[in-house]
Amino acid sequence: MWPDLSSFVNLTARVSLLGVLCALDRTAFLQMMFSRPLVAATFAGALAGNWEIGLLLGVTMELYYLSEIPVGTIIPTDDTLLALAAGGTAATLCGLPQNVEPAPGTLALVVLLTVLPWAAFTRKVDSWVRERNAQLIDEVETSLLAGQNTGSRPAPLNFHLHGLFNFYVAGVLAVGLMMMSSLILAPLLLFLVPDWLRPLTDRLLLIFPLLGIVGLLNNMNKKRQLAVFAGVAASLLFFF
Amino acid sequence: MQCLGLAYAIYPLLEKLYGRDVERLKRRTRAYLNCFNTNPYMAAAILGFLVHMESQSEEMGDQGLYLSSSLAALYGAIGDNFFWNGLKPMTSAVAVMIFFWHPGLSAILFLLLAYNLVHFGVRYTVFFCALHRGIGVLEKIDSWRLPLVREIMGYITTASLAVTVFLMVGYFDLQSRFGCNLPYLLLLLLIAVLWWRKKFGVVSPFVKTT
Repeated sequence: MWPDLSSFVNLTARVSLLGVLCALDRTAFLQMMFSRPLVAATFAGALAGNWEIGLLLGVTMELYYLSEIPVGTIIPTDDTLLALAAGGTAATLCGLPQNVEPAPGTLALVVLLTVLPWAAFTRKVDSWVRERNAQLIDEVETSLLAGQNTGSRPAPLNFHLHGLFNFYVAGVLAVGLMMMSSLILAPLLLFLVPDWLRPLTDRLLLIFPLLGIVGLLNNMNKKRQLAVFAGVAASLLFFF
Repeated sequence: MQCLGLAYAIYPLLEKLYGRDVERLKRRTRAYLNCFNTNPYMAAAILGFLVHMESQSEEMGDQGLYLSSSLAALYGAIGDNFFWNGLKPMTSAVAVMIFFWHPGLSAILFLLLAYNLVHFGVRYTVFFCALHRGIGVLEKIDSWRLPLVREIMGYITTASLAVTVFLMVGYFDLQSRFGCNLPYLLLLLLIAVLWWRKKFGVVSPFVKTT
């Protein structure tokens, strides 16, 4: 039984149009960490009807992209757009009655598999918007010399806000595309796994702690060995 | 793009100072459209400094703009290292640890509160300090010893991540899926092996060396 495509489109539109407000926080507006995967995926999940699965995906993606930082001219992966697509997809699949209802961990894993390959695409989108916004400065200079005015503030200075609009439109299109593709691929993957392989997919949940180790190693250097040992020792003492 | 934001932010002052002379106002506004790139939070310090200089005279404003290019690079380095490399990973790592300890929205609440208290605190302090003391804001920033704070935040990040890895085993109930404490031992072994490889600089056979 196939899920209702009209609900897919409705929820994708809702997550794209409203969820991308979080993505504006990334560089264009405020920068108050609403754009972190933890917040963005939870928000997308809430928009699609299940914030819990969004939160789980957000936490996982937060770990995965922890050490990607926008220093200098480096444009990192836009983890906000990925988190919005992932959170929205997972919550949509959870909420539909046709869903086979896999465990949240398994569903999160499958959604991650369908969303993470888009990472390079999000970098391209970011570069494209930045290039487009860089052209705004020339337009401002030309308009300023031409003497355009709106009220007390010269109209060209309002081009500043056009940059915000460019980020929004690009974000909406990117999230819509990623979410729709993931909504088609993820149920296919879940459907294709035969019953006798299900116990194995449960064991694949070990991938989540492995993602944690990836984050840990990216943050570890020679000076911080002591912190690693302290953390591991504290955990072992607590758990055993 | 930051220069456009800078011009947008400083325009009310320029209008107040040169509003009667339209040509002069245009010239001063265009002066603020030169290339400008720094850490977005520390840009507040430069904005405060430029307001301080421009308020004195047009010549001082030009000097302020000349100095601001050097300040932008300096603040960019300090801000990127402190915020992007220190505060952001630390608050994220601790928030993730909180989630796997007590699943719920408390992780998001912690992330937003901890990060924004520090970020708004720094942003407003450097802006008002630069506004009143001009270049003297450098002394204020220096007194905070941000490189040391960032180093401490690095330790907290790493320790939180180490704890998180083990908390995840309990969250996903991997003990019952694998039986006994096998997942803990597997992860411990993996951390030890990868740490050893990193410490002694073992090159992966999958990495091409020239």
